[in-house]
Amino acid sequence: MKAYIHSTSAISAHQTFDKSSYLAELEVSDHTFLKAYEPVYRDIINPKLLRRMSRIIKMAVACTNQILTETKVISPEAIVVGTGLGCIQDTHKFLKDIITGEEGILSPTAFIQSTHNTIAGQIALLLQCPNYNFTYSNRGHSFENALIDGCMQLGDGKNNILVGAADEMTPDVLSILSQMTCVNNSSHVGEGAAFFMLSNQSKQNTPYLQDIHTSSNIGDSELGNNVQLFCEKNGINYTDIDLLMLGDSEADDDQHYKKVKSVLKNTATLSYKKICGEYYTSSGFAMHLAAMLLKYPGILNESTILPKFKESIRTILIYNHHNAVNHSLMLLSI
Amino acid sequence: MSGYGIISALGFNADENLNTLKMQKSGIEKSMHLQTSKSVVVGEVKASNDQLKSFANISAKKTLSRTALLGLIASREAIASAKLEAAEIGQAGIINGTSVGGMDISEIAYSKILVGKAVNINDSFSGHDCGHSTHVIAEQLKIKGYNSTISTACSSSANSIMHGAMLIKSGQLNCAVVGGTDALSLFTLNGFDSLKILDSEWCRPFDKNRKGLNLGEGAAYLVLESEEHIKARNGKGIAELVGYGNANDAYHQTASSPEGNGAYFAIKKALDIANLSAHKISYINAHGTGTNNNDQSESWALQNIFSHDLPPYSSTKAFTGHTLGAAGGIEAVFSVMALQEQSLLPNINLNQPMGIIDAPNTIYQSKQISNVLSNSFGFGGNCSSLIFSKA
Repeated sequence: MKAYIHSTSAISAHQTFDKSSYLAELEVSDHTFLKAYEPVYRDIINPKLLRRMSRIIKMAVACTNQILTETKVISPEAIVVGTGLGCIQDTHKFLKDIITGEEGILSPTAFIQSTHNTIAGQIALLLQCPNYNFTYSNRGHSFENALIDGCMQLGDGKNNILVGAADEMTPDVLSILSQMTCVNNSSHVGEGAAFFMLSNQSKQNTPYLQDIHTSSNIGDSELGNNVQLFCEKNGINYTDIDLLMLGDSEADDDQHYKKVKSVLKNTATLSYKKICGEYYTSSGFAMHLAAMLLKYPGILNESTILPKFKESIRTILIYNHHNAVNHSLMLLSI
Repeated sequence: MSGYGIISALGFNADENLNTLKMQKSGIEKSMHLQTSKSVVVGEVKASNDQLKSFANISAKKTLSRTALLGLIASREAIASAKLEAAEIGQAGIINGTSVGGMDISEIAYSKILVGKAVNINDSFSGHDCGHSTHVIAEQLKIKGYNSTISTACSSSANSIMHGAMLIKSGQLNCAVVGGTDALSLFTLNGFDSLKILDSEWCRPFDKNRKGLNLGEGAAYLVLESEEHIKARNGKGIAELVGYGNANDAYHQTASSPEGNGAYFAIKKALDIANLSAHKISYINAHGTGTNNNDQSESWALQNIFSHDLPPYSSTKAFTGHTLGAAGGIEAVFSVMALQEQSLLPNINLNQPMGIIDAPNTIYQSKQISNVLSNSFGFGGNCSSLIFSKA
């Protein structure tokens, strides 16, 4: 079933939160990874609450608040969040305290904030929302799991489902990640949050998620088949797809992305990770960017980061994989 | 529900767990394998990592978290007990729940890093994230369908069971292995200690003088199937998952509301989905951690739902310890065992009831049981309830 995106909000390495200057300027940061370009939180979140929030919570709550303002929804009927590493800053802090303090007396604050579902739990607490509240943490499918559940909740008759993706990076975690063989370019590591209000109600000029497909540990030929079957199932020809959004980076020579490009060889492509970097829930940002491009055709007119596309983009296919293990396809239209 | 598997402080498989429950013998002791300076008792699985690797058919040379090993052992038993064939396993989904994933390995490695010792970074941290154990189970057992990992603290595996049921109901899966796993870690032990909700002696759920919880570890999985699927393969249903509900307490990040609002809503939703009135519940496997806050909050929720029709209830946490992300799975298996055995499970270590509601059932005894309610509540206000009925 179609999941209409009544609003979306994202924080990424570049200006995406303030929609009036969306991706206008290239933000140059002196960080060793693609650190999120964060808004001034005290304008968005109650300063008394801000003090205790880690960055991942601030990013998620800021996006949620923007969405609630735009949609005028007071209490979503479900809150579903995906996060690959959860509240890793507080997890790391508490672990370090345990070890350096040799299991002595500890402040519980970091432990309290460290559980993966702190993000969805804090949103429920702030909104006093007693409804369905789920958190998925499944590597490169964390956001996809959340989105699939969100769509299933719509199918089950609920409406106004808040679905989000959030991950944060810290210098300490980066230093571990950069020594791992699965990370070949640590300057490409990113972080961020992307949230959506999904509805079963169509509205004028409202993008929708038509379908999503996930698979794990597949080879090139199966990937090609998956793209074909996915399009067939949704009744679209390759020529109907105006834009193919890929999770590759310009430098890499990745066989999976090449395969999908070869299947859709006449379709314009966009590599979105130059904006958000690579992280477990980067596909959440991809869906956000796709929804923005569909809803606001001229939004990149002033952008110095991304090229402009032909006026009317009606259908976008997103393909992402994480470490060649978690593959996902998402189809959005307006 | 056509099969289950379980590993906990009570034993390495379903039979051992049930027999220890019948004997009313707790699995909580001083830790043998977790290296901690804390003076506490824990519900530890009675095997070293090397022994677990051998049970799980994993090479002794491979670094694998206890969380993944426990998960692998219990999920393999679940699949065997459901008598699924290779093709059916291949198409099944796996929905796994865990709260701290591979923390047991990463915390040891990180303590070495902090004193300048060299560690193998890949081996130490590639299994840290919650999704890792799911990936290991899927790969080892050749489960090739949809996979998902839920991390909602202490309700993680109850939510996995719920999610698996909803995927089957919506037609996205025909068969799913659902449950969860968590290993003891210094992280959670010190975390609960910093919150001052650990009892250094044996925990006393629903006792007036309870002092806190004991941590435990383990894993448990159920095999859920659609009616068409189980009929088509001539499988045998052991029990039916008839109701599920998740709600948020929206009160505090770690504490439950005194009146148990979230718990009340979760039970209410589960009863509504099951289309059962409260008095049809024959036994409740309560969350009952033994903390002052949980047992009070849960008692009020039960009082508000059941009023004068409160069925016998018990917490089995004094047997296994609080197994966090695995608790919902372990207690779902216990709930199904209560149905199969037509017996109430005991709430041990009770001296003096709390006085909010009638005392819990304290002995293993036979009773006609048709519907069992299982509660799991977690940090972040996450409250979940499941209802199992006779097949």
